[in-house]
Amino acid sequence: MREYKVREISNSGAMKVKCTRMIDLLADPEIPQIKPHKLVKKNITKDEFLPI
Amino acid sequence: MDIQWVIIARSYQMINGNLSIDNAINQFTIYEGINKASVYLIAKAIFSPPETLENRGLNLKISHDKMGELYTFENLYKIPDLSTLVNMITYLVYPLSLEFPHTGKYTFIISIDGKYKNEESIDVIHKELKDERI
Repeated sequence: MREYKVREISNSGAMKVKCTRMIDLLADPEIPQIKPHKLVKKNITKDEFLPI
Repeated sequence: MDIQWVIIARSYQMINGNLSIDNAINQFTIYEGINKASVYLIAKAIFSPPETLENRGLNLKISHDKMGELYTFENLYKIPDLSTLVNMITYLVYPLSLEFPHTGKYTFIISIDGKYKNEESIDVIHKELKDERI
């Protein structure tokens, strides 16, 4: 997800608006990175720790 | 680069590359002392392959039917390359916090490199006026 800062160039004073960024939803998508060594497995038995 | 449509919504979700717009709005009712809205302006942008990696001047203008132009936001947008674009489209989202001082029609206009592309509008009405319109 790519973000661009938005530059405001005029303000009439007749309306309050806040917009500080624009987001590009599909460009550079955040692909979930599954890292096996970080997976947490509950109820691990002692045998599973033994080297293969 | 073109803007195929513009939608103003209360919320959206992006799940596995699929956009889901939960609550699109085109009317906002103001009450006594309550005239604020947090919305997302979502625009579907489409590209042609030769445009990739080019810079575009993206402009969002807000105007009122009686008061004229109120705000202009501009930013330089670099079109992503072919490997990051999905089907030559993307969705551009402006998170907007708005405070409407008057009733009337507020139009949100998107232009690219000074050329009009698309727009969406919100009718801001007062509570009593809404009852009359229905």
